[in-house]
Amino acid sequence: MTPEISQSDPLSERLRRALTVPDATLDRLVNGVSESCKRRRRQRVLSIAAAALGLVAATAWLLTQGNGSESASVARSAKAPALEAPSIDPDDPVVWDIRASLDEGGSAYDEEPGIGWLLEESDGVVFGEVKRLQDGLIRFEVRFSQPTWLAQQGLRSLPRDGAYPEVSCSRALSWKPGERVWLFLKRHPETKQLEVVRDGSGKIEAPLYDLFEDADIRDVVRRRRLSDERLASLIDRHGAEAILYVESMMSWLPEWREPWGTPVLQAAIQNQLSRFAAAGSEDIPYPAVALRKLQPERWLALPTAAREEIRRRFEAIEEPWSRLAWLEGLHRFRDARGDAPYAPDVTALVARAEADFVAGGGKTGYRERLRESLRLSLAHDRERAVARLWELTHEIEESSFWGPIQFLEPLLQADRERAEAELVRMMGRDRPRRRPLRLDLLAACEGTAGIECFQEWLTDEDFDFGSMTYLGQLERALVRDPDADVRFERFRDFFRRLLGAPQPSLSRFVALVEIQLAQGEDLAPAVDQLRRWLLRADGEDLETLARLVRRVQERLGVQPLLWRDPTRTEVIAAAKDLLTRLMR
Amino acid sequence: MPPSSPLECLQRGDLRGLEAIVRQHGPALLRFLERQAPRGVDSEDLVQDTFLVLLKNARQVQSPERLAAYLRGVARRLALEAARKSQRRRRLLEKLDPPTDAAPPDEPDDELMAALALLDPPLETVIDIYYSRDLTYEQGAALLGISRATFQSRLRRGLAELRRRLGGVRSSQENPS
Repeated sequence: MTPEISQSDPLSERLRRALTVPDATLDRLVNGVSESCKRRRRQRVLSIAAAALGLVAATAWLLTQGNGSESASVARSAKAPALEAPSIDPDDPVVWDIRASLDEGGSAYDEEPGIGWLLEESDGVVFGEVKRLQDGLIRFEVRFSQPTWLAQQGLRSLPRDGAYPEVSCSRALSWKPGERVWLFLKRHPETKQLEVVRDGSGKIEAPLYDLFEDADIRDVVRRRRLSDERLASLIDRHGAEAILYVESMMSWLPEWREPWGTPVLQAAIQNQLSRFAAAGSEDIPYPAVALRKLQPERWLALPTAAREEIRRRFEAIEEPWSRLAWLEGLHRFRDARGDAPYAPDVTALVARAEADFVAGGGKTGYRERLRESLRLSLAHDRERAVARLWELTHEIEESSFWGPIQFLEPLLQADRERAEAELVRMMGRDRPRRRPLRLDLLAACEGTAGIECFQEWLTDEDFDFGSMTYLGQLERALVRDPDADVRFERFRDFFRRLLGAPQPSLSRFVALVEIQLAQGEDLAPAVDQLRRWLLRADGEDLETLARLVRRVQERLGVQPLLWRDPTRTEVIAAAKDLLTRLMR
Repeated sequence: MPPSSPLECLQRGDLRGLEAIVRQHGPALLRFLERQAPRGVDSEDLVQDTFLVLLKNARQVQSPERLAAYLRGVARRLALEAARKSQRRRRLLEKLDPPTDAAPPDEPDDELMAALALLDPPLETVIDIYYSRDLTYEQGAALLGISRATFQSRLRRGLAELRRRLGGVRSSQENPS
């Protein structure tokens, strides 16, 4: 090893004399910094006390949801202390420069992740205004005094004047100066850089910054619902578009059920259609959505002139998908024209879909439009529609798996017995290969063969139905659909037995717990297995465990984990707390 | 789990991390600021301000290895601001009270300080770190997040450059043959 350079040669001696800092000086420096910290902290407390009140409240409600019980203190004590230094001056905007990525494809945004997903994934949420776009750089101004929601204390320690060149947003989202947006932020675990969640999809389209206010989002997070009155006011103000946004926002909640049938909301929807009929232009958006949500008796309650005007507007529509969307609502209504005034329109729609299907080579979009047109046709020309759906099921079977099973879906209503037998055959055939399948259709089977097939799939230890895809299917079939309660009743005992049995993976167990809770069932049969998984709280699958802990905490009415990815320490602390409760 | 670095402690909000950082980097930073800051400005105050900036923006520092460079950058900026303020103040004072020809107070080894200030920043940093706290190569390299060999190499180059600027003062071991 090369010897160290001597510090006794003349130059080194000179450097040592000049540069060495005596211990006393160093102590003075340390004390000076420490004193400055304390001074600044005191100043900060005094100067921003009033402004901070709102922020503290915003943070506090996040930390004190539920009954503020023991687990809250466990979770809080597990948190690292908040960084004290940065002050939050409500009049001092924070400016962030975020560089837009070169990826302009925007494919990542085809599927809107939904606020729930974002909230759970984000370290924090802030409200900002796009100030400037230049050379791919998006400058945001964030004012903490504006409706800003701090999802965790850590956000308070954000650098206030830094630029983040490594943060990416997609330009495909068409940022515009003056636009006010929610930014969902996540701190990268390694680089500590702040990132907009999912490469910029922190900007969700209109729902979050045009439609919903802070209080709405808090209600969704805290109570998992918006009141009917609030929904009605959203529809009044924003039109039927609000229905789409609400559904988009709520779709992540397994226990959320469509509220549109309540009198107050039906009145709001009916009012939208009245306004649409009365308007001289197309300035009432999304009438087709309103039509689909309107109950037939409410349609009849509309003035005759309004109904005629709506029909006239429908007849002017050329585009086939739009016609389909309108007809999905209209064909349910009867009026002076008779019981099925829209039957000819449905027939024409099917003819057009058939022609396009052939011309388009049977591609997915044409296939979907044909299926949905035939689904409408079942109400008017059942025999012919059923025959055609079976034809399509057998035609497509050899070349595509998803094709035939898609056409089986409407057949499960129209030709149940035969369709169930076919579904069981398809699902049984594909079990050894674990191919993509439709658990939701299987769960909807009423016959013994279908029910047994469903149970076989769920007890197959090599099949992980805890993935989000299959969990979504199960929730749709057993929790959300209008017939979900009846279906679940068929499987109630089965689910209780399954919950009490060891599961090969945590994700499977969590999926069972989620369905059980969403159906309002108790967790008694799951307690032993719950203990087993909580005792393994130091395992690898922290994210899934956190989901389990959070759901059980909510059920027990105790402090849920924070609205962000909890740390390992927090999950373990919360799991221990739950274990203690379960042992009592 | 590996022990947290002082920077990571600070980023989590633990002020003990800051104290450790002041002890590690403070001496070199003080000497650096003594060279950079204008006369009449208290270098210790600037050191304190530098660490307060770090406290505020700790999360901007991506890794402990970048801490020394970050602190130097902040210190340099603060020194520049102090120089501007000092210049404004001096101009104001000159209007009120014209300057005299009196010699400035003696500075310790001005020549050496001036030569150090002209070094490339990486070489200057290594010399500051090495001599301000009597560190070993390993300790200095760890503080800067570089290898021992790099630390040693920079030190040699820095000393050689200093020697050249100071007119041939040689170290007995700095130039291995």
